Formats: sequence, structure tokens, C-alpha cells
Amino acid sequence: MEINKKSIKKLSSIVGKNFVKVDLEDRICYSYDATNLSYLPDAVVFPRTTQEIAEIIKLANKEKFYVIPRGAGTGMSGGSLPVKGGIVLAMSRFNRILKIDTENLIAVVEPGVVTGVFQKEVERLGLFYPPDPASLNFCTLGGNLAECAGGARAVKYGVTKDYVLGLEAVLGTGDILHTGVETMKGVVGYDLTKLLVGSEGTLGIITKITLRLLPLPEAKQTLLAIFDKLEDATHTVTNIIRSKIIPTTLEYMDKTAVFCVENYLNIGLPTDAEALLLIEVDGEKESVQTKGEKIRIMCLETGARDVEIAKNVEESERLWQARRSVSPAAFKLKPHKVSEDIVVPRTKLPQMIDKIKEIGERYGLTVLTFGHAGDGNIHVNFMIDQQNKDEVSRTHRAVEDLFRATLDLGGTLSGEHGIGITKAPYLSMEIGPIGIDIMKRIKQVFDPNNILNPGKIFVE
Amino acid sequence: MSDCPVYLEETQESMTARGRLSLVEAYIQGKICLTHRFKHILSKCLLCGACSDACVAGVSVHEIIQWARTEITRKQKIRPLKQLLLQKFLEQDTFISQLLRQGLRINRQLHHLSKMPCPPKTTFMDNTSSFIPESQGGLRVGYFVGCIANHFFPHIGQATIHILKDGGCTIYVPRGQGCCGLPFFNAGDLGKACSLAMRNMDAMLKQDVDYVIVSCAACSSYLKDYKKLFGSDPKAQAFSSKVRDISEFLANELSYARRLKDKPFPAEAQTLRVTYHDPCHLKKRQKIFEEPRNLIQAIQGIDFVEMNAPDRCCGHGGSFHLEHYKLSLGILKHKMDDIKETGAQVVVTGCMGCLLQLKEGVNSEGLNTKVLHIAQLIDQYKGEPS
Ligand SMILES: Cc1cc2nc3c(=O)[nH]c(=O)nc-3n(C[C@H](O)[C@H](O)[C@H](O)COP(=O)(O)OP(=O)(O)OC[C@H]3O[C@@H](n4cnc5c(N)ncnc54)[C@H](O)[C@@H]3O)c2cc1C
Ligand code: SF4
Repeated sequence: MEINKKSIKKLSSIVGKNFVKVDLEDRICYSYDATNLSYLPDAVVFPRTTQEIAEIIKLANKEKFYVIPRGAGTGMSGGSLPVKGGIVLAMSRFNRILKIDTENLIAVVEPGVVTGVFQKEVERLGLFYPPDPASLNFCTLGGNLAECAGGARAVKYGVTKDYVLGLEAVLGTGDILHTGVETMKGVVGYDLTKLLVGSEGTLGIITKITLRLLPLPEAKQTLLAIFDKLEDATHTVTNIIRSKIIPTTLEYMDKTAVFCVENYLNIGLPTDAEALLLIEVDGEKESVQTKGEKIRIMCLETGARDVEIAKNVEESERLWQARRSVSPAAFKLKPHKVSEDIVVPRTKLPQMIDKIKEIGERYGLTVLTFGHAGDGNIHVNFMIDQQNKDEVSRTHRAVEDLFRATLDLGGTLSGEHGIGITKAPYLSMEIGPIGIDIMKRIKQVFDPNNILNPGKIFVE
Repeated sequence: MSDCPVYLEETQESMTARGRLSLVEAYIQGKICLTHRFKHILSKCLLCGACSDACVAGVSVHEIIQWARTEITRKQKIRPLKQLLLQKFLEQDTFISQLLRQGLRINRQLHHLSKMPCPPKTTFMDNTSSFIPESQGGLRVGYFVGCIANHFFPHIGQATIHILKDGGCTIYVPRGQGCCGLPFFNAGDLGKACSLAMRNMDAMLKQDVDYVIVSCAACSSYLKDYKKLFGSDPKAQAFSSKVRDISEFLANELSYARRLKDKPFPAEAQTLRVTYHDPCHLKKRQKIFEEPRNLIQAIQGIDFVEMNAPDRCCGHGGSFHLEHYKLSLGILKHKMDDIKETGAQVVVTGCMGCLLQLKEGVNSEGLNTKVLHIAQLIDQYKGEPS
């Protein structure tokens, strides 16, 4: 379905000539996301209004071309890639914060607003939007909704869907849907809002979002616990959760991750350690100190060699920098990585970590794990060289074993990165035939001509 | 991405560091050629380094973009007229340079150049002797003037000389120095950049100075990079290691903040609200940002206020300002908003490009805010020699 000249002309008349790009240079810039895969779109379109999008979708239905919504292209599962061509609908001009209501603690935003920018704005007003994917300086709220992004603070505060009250979206038919509420509760009819959250741009283009906000916690404290034994670290995680202190974050880095980061940043991380836990607590000033102290003692009791407490913002920033650099630092090991973001029940964490180690050894692969240990979400990265065909095929088998083991422990294939194209082949491992059938029928209703983001979630 | 001032205006991936890098990669792989669009995208970069600063992977994006520009210049034999004129103007001391200078004075209507300050009749070099001795025999410094101070702001050069004198330095203003070469380097003209660099190094090293003092952040960061330009050449190494930006030199080598603290506050003076704009070439390239603040705050009677995002690029970017005028002003707008929000009477900075840009902002918005180079502020407030 290559797009014809006539359609390009019509698109230009809808959004303006400057906002339709067909040059190869521009198409290259919209051919990739964070997966390192790349597919060229036929054109890139930059709409500014909901009405324009509705017209574009209607045109797409008539002229039969695909429409792929895109936020910032930081997705980790290929969600914004135009795998079958068509137009990329770049949402970057939808970048206004429309309202921050400090009385009702809600905000109304456009989907192209960068998550970190939004957080800074609300924090200036003493409010708090917790979901904090590590990509927050780049990714957009629209992309966060479409992937139901999580982040380090999910242990305590949950993920994106827990903050979405309502939205406006253009469906695959070109109809404009308004769902949800601007109130704290609402059960009028099916929850279409939550259905669109996590739908990866396959059901509708999100054009406006109503978000719930919290008061900004008064204080926080960051701790770094160093472990000589991997199982001590994972047991500490389960202990902390069991003790009913819910930290804001409870992040984990394995030996390989620590090694990569230290090699790269030289900030004095202990490279001889087997694992690190990065823990943060927040709340009122006094309670933060007591909670921090309790956690420190708990870490030491379960085998931590040392626990470092950040004395100020700079120190805490240094610790966070370490955590945020794992992804890029990993590339110093091998040129490519296959990363999965499985989740297991938190008590099963030690077993899962053992399993991952075993799988890596079985297939002779370098594995680097880190992630949101506090909610059982582990990022498993197989570091490979894609030129090495044998390594690639071993990785495929390793991923399958990984998913099997995850499901056996009662877990799920993806905690926050979504299915996209990279995990589509494995969907049926977790979701039974009835589940998949219903999902496909829902897709039919929202997007009868399969215009929106084809080739994602389901293998076609 | 959200750090790139150009992206924030244009909101297209091709204007992000990642977009530009993918295109450079596609070019290297032979997937795209030197198309108009490709060149346009590369030219729409301030080389401000915000992306490199933010990159956790430590990729020096602006240097890669720079490299690609050099490639382009190498491949395309004919130079655009604008670049040619700029080159002739910056060569200084030549007949054409003089002509262009006069042209600039007369034709104030020319394009948006009308908003630039009018160059005075004579240059800084015309009016300054090449050797200013100091009896106490303090540090021997060579003053590198730079084009903009020389042509447009000779008084900033004078202010710098006053402070250095006050600091007990023996000052050389060697003849033979000229443009630092950065505009040529940025435009990808390595040959010209190297020959200018040679000339400057020769002029300074001949005087056997302890330090080379520079009052423009763009020049100082670039002079420090001469050592990169010439690989491991010992002369360039020696030269670059002597280079100090004026705020760095005052704060560290001369401990001038302490002196300023001791200067009494003139009874008739009123407190002055001052804010500071971090030039990209000072903060991002040289990691100098505490020094100027320490100096300003040491001055008696100054009420220092930080603006929001003081290190956000002002949008000048050297020839970027000429090539993408509207975009440059769009970026400047945010800076002006942040300055206004502070209610400061004076905005101080340390780069001639920023100075030109901020002055243009103040003029076009009709503000009362004064734009001063840090040397001017200090010179005005340092009082009489103690
Ligand atoms: C270094 C790094 C760290 C990361 N850390 C985390 C993390 O901690 N937690 C986490 O959850 N994720 C993380 N991610 C993944 C990624 O940032 C998130 O999935 C994010 O939500 C994607 O946002 P985006 O704006 O880049 O969307 P894109 O990648 O552009 O798109 C993602 C999906 O959303 C769809 N989409 C985008 N905008 C719209 C819209 N307006 N309407 C409908 N559909 C839309 C696209 O079609 C696509 O399917 C990380 C990524 C990177 C590169
Ligand atoms: S150097 Fe500045 S303008 Fe150029 S890509 Fe980086 S951030 Fe953008």
C-alpha cells in the first residue's frame, strides 16, 4: 500500500505544505526508535489539531494507506515503526500543557508534551506526577499512555494507567472519541480510557489527556546497598517488601551492569560487588529518615557489605546517574542487545534471577540484568553481535526459555515496554486463543480497515 | 532531544542529535548524498553542545556534526558568498576587510544587520599599544582580543586591560593576532582555520607569556582546542595550556573575587540587580560557570539573581544567526522571557556572540535592561586601583 501523489497533496492541504515531509532525509529520521530496527515511512506528517487528524484518518481509509502515530520514538518494542510503510504521524506539535488545576489536582495535556517537562511544571506548583520512565527527558506522555509506561517509582506509585482519568482520541474510522472523567471516580459504561492505555497506537490516536496529580512529597532519601552475593540482594528485596515499608523505588543492578557503568562513568562504584540496590524513600521529613534507617539496617542484616546514604541532592543525583546509564553503558560490551522486560511476583525474584543466569550459561550468552526489582520487573539484556548469526539464533532460543520460565513462575512477558513487533511472536504464550480473539475483535471495532499501526501486537 | 534548542523550536526529529547522527551515518553508508536538505539540516545546528552534555553515552554529537560539515566543505569547491564575505571581513588588516567594515558602518539598512551595533571608526587594536608594562612584575599575560571586541566592542577590550592591570599583570597585546578561526572551523574550512591558528600561536608565543587571556568564551574554548586541531603538535599543546578565559583567570589565578570583596561600596551607588547568562562555550565546553558567579557575587552592592535555565543557548551560534535568522530569534525569545522574569537591571555574560544576541533581544523588545560583559561590570565596580 504505497501512498500515492494525490494523497500527499491532500495531506498537504489538510496540515499545510511545511508539515508534510517526503524527502528521504526526513523519512530516515522517522524510520527508527530505540530498538535499533528501521523501516522507512512513505511520508511524515505533523498535524496540529484533532480535527486535522480526523481528516487524515478519513483520507487514509479512503485512499488505503497506513497511519503510524509516533511520540518521541523512544519505544523499546518497535511500536512506532512503520513496518508496512504508510505515513508516520508525528505528534510533536501537540506539545501544550492545557491546564494544571491545583484545586482539583488534575492536569489536561496534549500527547506530545515531554514527560520530564510536564513533571517539572507540576512540581513548580507543588504537585507530583509520579510515572518516571528512565527516558523521561525525551519520551512523550502520549507514548507513555500508548505503552502504559512505568518507571522506578512504580513500586509505590504505580504506572501510567493509574493516573489517566480521561482522554480524547481519533479512532481508526476518523471518529473522535471522548472517554473518562475529570473527576476522581467514574463508572459510567465500559472503561474505554483504560482500554486505550497500552493499546500501542493500534486503536486510536490520543489527542488530549486528563491526568491525576498528587501532592509533591516533602522529602526523599536515596540509599545504595552493596552486596557480595546476588541472592542476598534479591532476598533483601523480598524482605523489604514483606516488612511493609514501601519504598518509592527499589532498583537493582547486577555485576555486569555495575561493571559497565563504572567503566564508563568512573564514579567510584564497587566493581567487585555482585549486585547493587538503589533504594529511595519519600514522604514527610521525619518519616523519611526513620524509613531510610530501617531499610539501611535491613540491608545490613541480609548481607549487604555496605550501605551508602546520599547526603544531598548531588550525591543522590550521582547514584541515579549510575542507574540511568546502564542502558547506554551496556553497548560497550557488545554492539547490540536484545532486551526483555519480564515481571514476576516479587517473592519469585530470587528464583527468576537464578533462572536467568542459568539460561545465559546454557546458551553461552552475556546477560546483563537490572531493573525495577521492587515490583518484580527485570530488564534482561542479552548482549550480542548481530553479525554473528549463531549468536542471534541462540538468543532467540534463550528468549523463548526466558519467557517460558517467567510464565511458569506466574509472571508476564512485558511490564512496561509493550508488545510492538519484537514480542508479537510470543503473545500467544501468555494470552490464550479466546483472549487473542477478543482483542482482535476489539481492534476490528475501533479500526475496521486496519489503518492504524498495522503489524503490531498481533502477528499478521 | 528536549535539550536541543533548535528541536524545541522546530519539533522535528531531523533537528535532534539522534536525527542528525542517523543522517551522518546514512551519508557515510552511502544511503544519502550531499543533498540540499541534508546540508540544510546540518547547518541548522548551533553547535551549542547541549546534546553532548546531556548524552549519558558521552557521545560528542556536536563534534560529529562539525566533522560532517568539514566533509561537505571539502567536497564542495565553491564557497557560498556569505561565507566568502565573512572570511574576508575576519581576515582583518586587509584592504577588503577595511572596505567591508566601512560598508557595515554605512549600510545600516542591510538585511537584519541593521540591528547589530555600528562598528566604531577605529578598532581596539588601532588604539592600544602592544605592550603595557607593570612595574611590580606580576604575571606576564598576552591578551587575545578576538574579532568582535576588536571591531564592535573596543571598550570591552579596554575594560579587560584595566582589570588585568589592576591585578598587577604585565600585558602584551601582540600584533599579528587575528581571528581565532572558529567561524571557519564551524563552517568546515579546516585549511583556513589552521592557518589562522598558526598566526595566533606565533604572535603570542613570541612574547613568552605565562598566560593567554581571552575575553570571549567562544574564542577561549576554541583556542584551548588548538591542540586538537594540530594533533599532538607540542607547540599547540604548549599554547593551549596557557589559554585562560578572563573569568577563569580572574577567579583562579588572580583570586580577584577576594579583592572585589574588599573594595568598599561607593556611598552614592545603589544596589544593582544582576543576572548571568551562561555562554555555551563557557559552561558546556569549558565547565566554567562557578567562577563568573563568584566574581559577580563578590562585588559589593550587587543583588545576584539566577534566571530560569541560565545555561540555555541564546540562539546566536555565530554564523547560525546569519543563516537562520528567524529561528535564532525564536530561540532568543525564551532567553529574553527568562531574563525579564528575574527583574534584573543588568544581564551579564562572557561571550561576544551572546552579547550581540542579548543586545539585539533587549533592543527589539525595548527593555531597559543593560547587557554587559563580565569585564565591563567588574571594571565599573572595581573602584580605583587599591
Ligand atoms: C533509555 C530508555 C529508557 C527507558 N526506560 C523506560 C522505563 O523506565 N519505563 C518504561 O515504561 N519505558 C521505558 N522506556 C521505553 C519508552 O521510553 C516508553 O515506552 C515511552 O512510553 C515511549 O514514549 P515515546 O513518546 O517515545 O513513544 P514512541 O516510541 O514514539 O511510541 C510508542 C508507542 O506509542 C504509540 N503512540 C505514540 N504517541 C501516540 C498517540 N498520541 N496516540 C496513540 N499512540 C501513540 C506509538 O504508535 C507506539 O506504538 C525507555 C526507553 C529508553 C530509550
Ligand atoms: S549542538 Fe545544540 S543545536 Fe546542535 S544538535 Fe546539539 S543541542 Fe541541538
